[in-house]
Amino acid sequence: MTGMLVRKSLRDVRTPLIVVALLLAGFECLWCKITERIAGELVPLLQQAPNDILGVLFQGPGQILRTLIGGERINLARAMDVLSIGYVHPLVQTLLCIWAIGRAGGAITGEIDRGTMELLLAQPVPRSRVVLAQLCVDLITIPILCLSLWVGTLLGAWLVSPIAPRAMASPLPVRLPAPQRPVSPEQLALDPLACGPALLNAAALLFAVSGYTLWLSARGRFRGRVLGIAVLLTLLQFLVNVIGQLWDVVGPLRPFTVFYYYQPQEMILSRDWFARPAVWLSLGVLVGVGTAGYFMALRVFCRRDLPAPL
Amino acid sequence: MASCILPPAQAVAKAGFAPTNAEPVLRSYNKLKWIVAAKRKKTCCVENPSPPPPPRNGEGEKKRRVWLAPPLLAGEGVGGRGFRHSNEDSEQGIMLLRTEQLTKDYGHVRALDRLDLTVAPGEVFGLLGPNGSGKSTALRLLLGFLQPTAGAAWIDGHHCWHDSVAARRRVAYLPGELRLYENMTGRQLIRFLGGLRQLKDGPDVERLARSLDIDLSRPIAELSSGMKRKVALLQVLLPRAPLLVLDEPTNTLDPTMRDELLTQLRRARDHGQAVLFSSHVLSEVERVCDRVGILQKGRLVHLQRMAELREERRIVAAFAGVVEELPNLPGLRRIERQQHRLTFEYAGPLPPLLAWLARQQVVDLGIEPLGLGAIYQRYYDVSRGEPPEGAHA
Repeated sequence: MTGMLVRKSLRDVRTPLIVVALLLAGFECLWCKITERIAGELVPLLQQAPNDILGVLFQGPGQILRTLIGGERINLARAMDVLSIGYVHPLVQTLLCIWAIGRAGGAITGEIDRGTMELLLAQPVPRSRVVLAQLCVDLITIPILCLSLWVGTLLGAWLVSPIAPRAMASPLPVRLPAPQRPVSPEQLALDPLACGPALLNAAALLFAVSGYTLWLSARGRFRGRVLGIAVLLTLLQFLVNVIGQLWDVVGPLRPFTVFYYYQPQEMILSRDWFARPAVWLSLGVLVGVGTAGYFMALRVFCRRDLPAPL
Repeated sequence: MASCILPPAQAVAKAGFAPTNAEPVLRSYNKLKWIVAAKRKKTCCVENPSPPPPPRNGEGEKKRRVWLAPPLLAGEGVGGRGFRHSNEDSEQGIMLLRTEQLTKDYGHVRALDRLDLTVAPGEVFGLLGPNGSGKSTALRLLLGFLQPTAGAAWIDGHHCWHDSVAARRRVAYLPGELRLYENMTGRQLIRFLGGLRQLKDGPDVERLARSLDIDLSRPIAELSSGMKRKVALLQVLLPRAPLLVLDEPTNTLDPTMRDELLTQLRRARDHGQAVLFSSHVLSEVERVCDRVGILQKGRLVHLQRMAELREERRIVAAFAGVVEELPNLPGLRRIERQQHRLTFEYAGPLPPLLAWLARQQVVDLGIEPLGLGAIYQRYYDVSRGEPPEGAHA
């Protein structure tokens, strides 16, 4: 019975799943090209300038940019550092959240809103199975999306490797000089396999957002309203996390957002990520939020009245 | 193993105890049996019943707890407060559906008020009432979509909220506001819903589809509302559930299909399936129902056996002279008196009444079956503020 519900849910989401997976893979593939341009052309050129142009770039309002790309520890001269930005890029986080909110938001409220939940629950289907089926759908679709991120990185890295320092192609009539300072090949080496562990963090983020959205969905009546609340909640968390890095007053609120625990760069750039408790704590919190969301969804949905279709 | 089926005293003796030791054990055993029997009789919730428990549903259900209702014979428990009983139930069968003081409040609004109802296997029961009278709420409570504010309902002994999955296994439901999965074809929908009931694809699907004139290969999104309702009807008729719950099933059906539906309902009744349906259309209720309940503002105000209604007549007689008082015949009820014209209802043998009429100076006489309309009209008038004569028992 659960299998039938899962198949039906997968059938409902297959088109958006394919679209989001292609977008994620495409973006990561493109990001490898961007990495090549930044690490292989732009940064070596800027490093020849007498002043620290990059330092100037990340001052003042540029701090927001620095925050968005992963903070102080990211060195744009290192290709892997730049590559890791592709996993925290706002576009990727937006795509992941759109998927999680859109799918989970429509999972229960969508059926109620359309009036089809009545048809479904008129059959001898326990309500708990409906929630369980959504969990199974998450357990199937989240790895697919995470793998699509990785496939994009693998494909992109294969296309652009090896990265070599070279002069930028300038749109101006003036030819920009080739970098004079030697760039070590290690700095420009791309290791897409190192991005693999980061998928755990991405999956945990998806699960967390999906969990609390499903809870909202289980207690909601209208799909649009549930989606609106979930988007607002997620956006608020994202802003608190970003602003909290820039403004100390908001800083203490960061641990109350799911994005605070989304640290894929930590796992990509540290060879010993598995030995760091902070990494496991982040994963644990995200999985915990998702599990709590699912538990609350189960509790609410099994006890609520099913409204009549309008 | 053999000792297990021996009476306790023998079993104990076989185990090597002296009979003097066995007697207190036997007494304790008998006492225990008595307590268990008394508890079963009294309570609706049986902990760890001896027969294999029904599958778990997981909805507010406690582990290893099965919510069962004591069996109820036809007629037992029917006739709670607030409605008029036309007749006593006579079947001696166990009720398939039973509600007891079933109540649902939406905030401060009482949608259903202490509904006491029973439906026997093979019975077609019609719920009548204007919009907002609580028909759909009653049906949705039975399906476990709503949690009752008070009271309870059981289907085949299974509590409709606490043991809702087991209850729904015995019910096929046609919603009033029909919404189907638009991204499926008719066949895919039937297969999906059938699969949830562990039904296998069989020749029944094609046979029923032919009789209802449905093309199951077409996407549901492309079907008209009437065709969608036919597909939904198909999924209701297919599982041969003991109870069919239909919320205004003839909505949007053309007259031919309406007839076909009523035929299918009669066929279901012949197969021993019970049908509970709500409707606004009195004529179709009259055609197919065995019993009818009229709801008004959430209360069951009238319960009518159709066989008896068919025996009742509405008589309008015009007299030339002064009209005598009506004879004291059982089942005779005066409705209206206008100068030389009398309107009355009569449920009884005609000869005594005709003999009385023959003694009068009758100038005009009309005798017609009473019909459900006349009954319904009483409560329709009530809703306009005119209290009916003898509307409530």
